Amino acid sequence: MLALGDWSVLAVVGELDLFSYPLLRDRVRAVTMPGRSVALDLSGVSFVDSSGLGAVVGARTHVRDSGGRFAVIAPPNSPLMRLLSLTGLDQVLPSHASREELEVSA
Amino acid sequence: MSEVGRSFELRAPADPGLGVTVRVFVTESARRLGLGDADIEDLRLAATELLANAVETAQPSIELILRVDAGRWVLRANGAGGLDRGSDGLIDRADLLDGLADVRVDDGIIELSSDVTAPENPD
Repeated sequence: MLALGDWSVLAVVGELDLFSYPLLRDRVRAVTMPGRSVALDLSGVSFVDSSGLGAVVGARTHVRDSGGRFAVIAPPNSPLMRLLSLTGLDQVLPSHASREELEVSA
Repeated sequence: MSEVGRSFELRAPADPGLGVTVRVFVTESARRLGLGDADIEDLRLAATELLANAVETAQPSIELILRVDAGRWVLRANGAGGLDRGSDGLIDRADLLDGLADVRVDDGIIELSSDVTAPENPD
């Protein structure tokens, strides 16, 4: 995990589906520290289904409950952004196109 | 995986570990049917959601059949289970599938269909 200003950035790579989502859920729980903000960098995720998106939303809840801010990093037109717009959750999850954009916003 | 006429079929156990398998199946089948990347992305998500639905409704196995008919792709799932509409969860699978395609549910069969998208860069 990489520290970027106030943020801890957790990079996720591969396919996030009904089989792999528990790995993300457990990893987020393991690395979350009280008051620390977490950004999930999903730029390297080539596929996301509703289970994977559920894990991302669950990560947001967990980090916020621990007193930190939460964001996702994913380029426009990525599988994640497409699924966010299909489900209307793009209004709920703060997203940045890149780590640089996250830094600027922080 | 087998080809029947101009349709492709896959029968698999309803096992959460088979997401990769169903995605490879729809990707390869869709390519052979002449579908482009945009449709393939939709089909990868649709097939994974159908598998997940079969797993969550405790079906033993799922059969996926992909064909192209009159300018529309049709993905039919036998043994995908019922589709719970209006669930109170944050992510509603029925809504998600509605966003991808026209959805028809009939006695354990879920059939998705959508107009074939013209490739962006035909060559």
